[in-house]
Amino acid sequence: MVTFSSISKRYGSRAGFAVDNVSCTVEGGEFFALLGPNGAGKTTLIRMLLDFVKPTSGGASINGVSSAYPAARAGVGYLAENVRVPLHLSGKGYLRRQAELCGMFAADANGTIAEVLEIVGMAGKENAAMRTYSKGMLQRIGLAAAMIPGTKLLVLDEPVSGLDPLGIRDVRRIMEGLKRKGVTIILNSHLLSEVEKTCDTAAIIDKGRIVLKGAISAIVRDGETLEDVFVRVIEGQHA
Amino acid sequence: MRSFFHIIKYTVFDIIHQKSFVVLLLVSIAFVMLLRGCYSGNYTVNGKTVDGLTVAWHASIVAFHLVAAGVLLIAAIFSMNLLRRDREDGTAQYMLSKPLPRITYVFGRAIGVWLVSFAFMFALHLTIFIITLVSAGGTMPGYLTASCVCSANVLFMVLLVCLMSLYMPDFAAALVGLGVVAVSYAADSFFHAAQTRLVQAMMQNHPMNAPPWAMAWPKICSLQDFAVTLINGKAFQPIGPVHPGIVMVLYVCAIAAGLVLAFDRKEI
Repeated sequence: MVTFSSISKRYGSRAGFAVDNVSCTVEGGEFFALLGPNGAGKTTLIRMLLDFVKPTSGGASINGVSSAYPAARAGVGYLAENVRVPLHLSGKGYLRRQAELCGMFAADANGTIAEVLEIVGMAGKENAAMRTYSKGMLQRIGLAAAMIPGTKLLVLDEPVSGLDPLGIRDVRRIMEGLKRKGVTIILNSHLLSEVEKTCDTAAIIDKGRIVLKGAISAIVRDGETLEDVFVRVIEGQHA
Repeated sequence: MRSFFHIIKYTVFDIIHQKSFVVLLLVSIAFVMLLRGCYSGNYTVNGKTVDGLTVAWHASIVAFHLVAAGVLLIAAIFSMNLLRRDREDGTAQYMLSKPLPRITYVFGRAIGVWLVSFAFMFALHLTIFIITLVSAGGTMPGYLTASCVCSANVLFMVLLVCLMSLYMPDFAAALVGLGVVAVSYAADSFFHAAQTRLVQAMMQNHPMNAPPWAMAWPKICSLQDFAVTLINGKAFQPIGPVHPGIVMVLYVCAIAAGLVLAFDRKEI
């Protein structure tokens, strides 16, 4: 379970709040989407959850452990918006590092790496240097890395950014597979049609505040799409 | 603790796969190999012929200083973009999204750079040691121990440049590190010059003592001088009441603490 408790972030004393007093809970096994226009504070919220950014006030916790402690990130996988990897490494070398940093021994790591490569459709391509990978292949390797080892919470920041329609479909299938395994997923995405297809609940953030949160089935009215809801809510905020 | 050693291993692997490392290594080996020429010539000083072993001895001491100082430059180059590059290529994010304390990450990276730089320096000193042994037939006891002593300077440089790189551009961070080294060499050289009989005779009415800032300044040059006394067996005369080794250890501890505190607040 992920909890944000009155969390705020302000960059400099004169700047406004990037995240402003957000409180919200994501239950275990839930597929949760963070929606909002550019600069709404979605990525900052995720980065505070992973302790990449220190909150100005409030806090976040994962399974009851404050995100300020490294132990909170046990079983957490993260895929950044623009997947950046050390390009001199091979895909397998990169995944091996991930496994080792999670405390896995070589024998276990090999099995897990083979498993996640199979899931993301990169089996057989893992020995090539990552500088030779396409954008889609890097995204898949990033996703594979986020799944090591036995991830219980997956935090995905724009996981389909830059992917072609086939790549988007493949990532959606991977996420659906993880959801069936009971993995909690927090997804930050602009692709509302994908969110509508895959997520259980969503929160819309604008100017650092949550302006709407609920089950997708509850916030999308009959005859509407999630995109309609998003436009209505955001335009209502800006009116 | 295993994660710490893994990060050191990754750092060493990443550095030795950089083209700049290979270039620096080749240039350094070429420089050391050039020294062989010094050992085979005939030298005359003030009309007296100097034997090959004496020449080899002095050339090796000079080379020791040059290598020890040169490696500080190399350590600054390796350290200056270490943390920034990690942020840019995603390394910091993929490591710190795992249950890894920041202190483990930052020290693992710094110690990895220090190990590579120290190995670099030790390899060059070992080459000089072997060349002296083979060309002049003389061993220099303490030469490799002295190299190990100078590793404290390398660690100081790595930590200082890493710390500075959190607040300023890479190149400026390296320049700050090299500036500290330059002042240390200048201050110590000035002090040693002031201790010579000639200068003391000239300044009889104005005895020259090291100013307090010179005593508190990082003793990079002094530690190197101390290391050389392990080779030549001469008495070591420190600047100020505290041994340079202790001063450098205190500096390393203080900068390491500063690096941890600064990196803990840094956004990834």
